[in-house]
Amino acid sequence: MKKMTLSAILLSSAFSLSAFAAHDCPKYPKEEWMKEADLKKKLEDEGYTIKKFKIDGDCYEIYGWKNKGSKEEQKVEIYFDMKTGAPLKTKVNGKVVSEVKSG
Amino acid sequence: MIPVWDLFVRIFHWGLAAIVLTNRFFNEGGDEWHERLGYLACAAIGLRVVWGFVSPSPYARFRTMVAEFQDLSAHPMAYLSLYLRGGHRRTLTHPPTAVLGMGFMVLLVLALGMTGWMMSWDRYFGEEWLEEVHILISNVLIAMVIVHVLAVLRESFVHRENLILSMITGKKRRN
Repeated sequence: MKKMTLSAILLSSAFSLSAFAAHDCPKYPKEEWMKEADLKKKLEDEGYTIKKFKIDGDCYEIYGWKNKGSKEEQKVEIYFDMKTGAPLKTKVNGKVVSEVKSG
Repeated sequence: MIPVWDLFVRIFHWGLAAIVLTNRFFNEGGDEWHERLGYLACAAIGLRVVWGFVSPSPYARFRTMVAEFQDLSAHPMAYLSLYLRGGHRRTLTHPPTAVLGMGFMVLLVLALGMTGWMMSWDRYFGEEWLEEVHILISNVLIAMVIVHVLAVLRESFVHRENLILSMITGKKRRN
């Protein structure tokens, strides 16, 4: 039984690559990436508050809010093209509102 | 053959199995459907708990499970060694080890619902560690599902009955 449990755990970790909703963004060499600071600045100027900024696969990704503290506050999760900084997938309050599929 | 698993229990069983496998292998964490199905699973568990008290069928009630559990709780080591050797008695409902396993799986599903929900809280929004905890719990759950299936197959073999079919038809051999 112990052996059985152990092998079951091993077996399950073999296919444990759980997909967590990322997005397929186009891949660019690192020197073409938009600077993190520039993208952050641009977003903040547009009224976003950034809670988390990360690199997810080939995308920049932010978790944060738009118009935080106002009546129109929205919780957003956005994936960006790393070169142009264009939003490729946007989730507002947990729902996907726009998605650009790339090849 | 007598009816043991009522319709509610069977729908709950296969529905929960379908949701767990779908959310793990056929959709993506963060998808709307992933979330809906996760909450549905938690709601179904809530109903199953109610059913465990009010079901007209004694086999769906917790009282029956608790009674069967006494084989194990009275002499844990003796029972476990008997179970491992396949010498434990057949029960119409669940052997005590099954009660433990199912209880654990149900808790894991609830923990997945809780951590999944917490990811939408302002405080934990975008926190990677919470996502990792959620994935870790799901790994343990899938491991438990495999143990569950293997244990059911072995139980079927030891007591010469088709338990998978029983969970479909609801019927089991009386003795």
